[in-house]
Amino acid sequence: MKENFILTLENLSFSYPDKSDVLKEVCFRISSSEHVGLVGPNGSGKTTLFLLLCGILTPQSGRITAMGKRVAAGRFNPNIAYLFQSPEDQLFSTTLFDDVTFGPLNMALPQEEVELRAARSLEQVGCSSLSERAPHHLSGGEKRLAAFATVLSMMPDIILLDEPTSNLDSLNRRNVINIIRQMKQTLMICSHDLEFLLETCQRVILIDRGRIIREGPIVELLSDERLMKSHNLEKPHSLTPHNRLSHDHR
Amino acid sequence: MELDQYARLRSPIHTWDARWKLIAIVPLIFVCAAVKHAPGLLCAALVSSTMVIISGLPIRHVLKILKGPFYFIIIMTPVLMLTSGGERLISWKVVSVYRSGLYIAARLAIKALSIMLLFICLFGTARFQESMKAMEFFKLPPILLSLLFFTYRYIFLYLEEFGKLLTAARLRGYTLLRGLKGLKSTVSILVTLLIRSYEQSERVYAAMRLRGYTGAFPTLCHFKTQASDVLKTSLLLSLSVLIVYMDVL
Amino acid sequence: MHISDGVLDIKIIAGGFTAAAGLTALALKKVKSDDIPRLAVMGAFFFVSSLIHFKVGITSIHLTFIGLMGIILGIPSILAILTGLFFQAVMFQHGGISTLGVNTVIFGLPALLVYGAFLPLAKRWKGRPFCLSLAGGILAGLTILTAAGLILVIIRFSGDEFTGIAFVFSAAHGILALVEGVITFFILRRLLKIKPEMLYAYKAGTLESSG
Repeated sequence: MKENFILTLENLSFSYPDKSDVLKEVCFRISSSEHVGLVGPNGSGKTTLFLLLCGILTPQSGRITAMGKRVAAGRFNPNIAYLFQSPEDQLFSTTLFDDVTFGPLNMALPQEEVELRAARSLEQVGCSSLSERAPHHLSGGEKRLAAFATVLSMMPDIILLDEPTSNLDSLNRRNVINIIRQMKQTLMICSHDLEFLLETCQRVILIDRGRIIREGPIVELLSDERLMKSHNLEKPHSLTPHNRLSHDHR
Repeated sequence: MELDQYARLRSPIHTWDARWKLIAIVPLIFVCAAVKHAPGLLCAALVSSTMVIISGLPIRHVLKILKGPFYFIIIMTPVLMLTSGGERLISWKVVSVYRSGLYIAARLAIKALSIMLLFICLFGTARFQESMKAMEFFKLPPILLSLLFFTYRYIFLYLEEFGKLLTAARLRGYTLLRGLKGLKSTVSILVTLLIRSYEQSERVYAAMRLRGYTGAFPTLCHFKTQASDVLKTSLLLSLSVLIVYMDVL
Repeated sequence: MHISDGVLDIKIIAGGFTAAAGLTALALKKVKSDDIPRLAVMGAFFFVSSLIHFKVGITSIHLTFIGLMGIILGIPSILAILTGLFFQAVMFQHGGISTLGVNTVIFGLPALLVYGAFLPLAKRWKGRPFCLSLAGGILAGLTILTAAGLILVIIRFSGDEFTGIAFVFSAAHGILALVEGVITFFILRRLLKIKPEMLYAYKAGTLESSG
């Protein structure tokens, strides 16, 4: 039974030196190829959870298991990737090509394989023509897609996405949605853009003050107006019978 | 600002393998810095300007880059003429104008401009990252190289951010550092940005670690030596020797 | 505030590169690969900050942040200074490429001295942020004077012809030292209040995040 889950969290707790109980006894399981949303108000511990999952932070207690192996903090683990909230943090090379090859080269892959992966991941996000550009010559939307490519070139099995639609115009937001919907990898997406989550995820986890409040099928959970309101969230408009519709009928 | 704007042109200098270009031009820069006498100086000026002409870089681009050293020389010349000592041209009370000052200024101008021209040939005819990768071949410590790469990237980010900030400050009708109040707001802006850059560096480090960073900047290299590269380099190296010879003669 | 191409004798240039190589080797010994992102990002930040020109009376000056870099980045600050000077020459044609070694020494040495002086003070005056910031400010002002002094000495050794000019330029550094000192003092006061771990702790700390 346990083998079906690609990512398991058991009793995960974490505190910063100056802030205690950022996460408390967090448990959940995610199946392979599942797309799971993570919602919660500002400061609820979503980013911290992601930093723990990818091994940047070390939990004080609890256990993270990915693909049957315990995640060790500080170790290079190309199977789990993290897309940062700001692409500026993720694009640190002088050209997009150097950025996309950075991960694969550190994985000690042969040169042809590195080039193949770079080309494929750039194509996947539609940035093939930007390969020789410097990051400061990319637009905000291009930067986001480029950052996505740097992660995809490592061909991870699990990808954590932190606010992938922030600061995007509607066209680029649509691009991101389309890319995500085609992805076969296991995804965890943290976002305040609930409409976006509705389009990309099957399941959602609601987290507040470091604890998991509820998890379940996305439409069901996000439709619960009282639950949403009590955690500073708003029920997505697309889940309410539309006022606008009756307007049009008149 | 971006020296490698015209790196995509095709000229004998552009097609020159970046590693061989480095071997040829760096010694020549030092030769230009070393020459002392008229014949050597003239040769240095001749060689460096010929190089720029061959490179086919737009004159306007080159002049824009030379503006900095040029202003420096304009400021230096009168000061040198007043302070250098030696044979007096004009004398008035305690102030004297010296002939040797003019000569020193001319020498300074030729040296500075020749070095700058060569520098443009070196870094202006190849993509910046290509020049950096070429340095990798000369056993520069990998830590220093990765520092150069990453710094270059974030300089542009902060140039953009500071540009926005200064515009915002100007829009609110406030000039930097006027009076104690100006000083205080300048400091608080600087501190905010300083902390932000510190926190960003932590995130960048995390992003690098997640992609397997261990200290070096791994790059794919496609350098390939051709006969013409060796030829160009040996030609330029012999010119360097010739300039030194002319100078000591 | 640095020596340009064409001014120095080749012997001094060679000496400068040798000394700079020594300083760089020392910094490379102290630096860990973990420090590189911080050095790069903050080095870029200081580089860009030093481009801002402030109006002071009829002239405008720009700060160097050498003292602050020494205090925040420690011994590896030499590497940030070296790369900063390199990019200044490449991108803005300030300073020079043949004088890169000499200029690295002119700024790197004072940064090291500030770090060396600040470290014991920081230990002794842990509970007294005002005294510590004041000391930092004074040290930062002194870095400018030290750098100006070094420039003077180097130019004097390079030949007689530029001595006069060097004196004229050094005199202008008094005001810069004052402004740099005052601003560093204020910055340190704020930093010690909000984020003291940024100073003299240049090892990778825990990642800050807003969650």
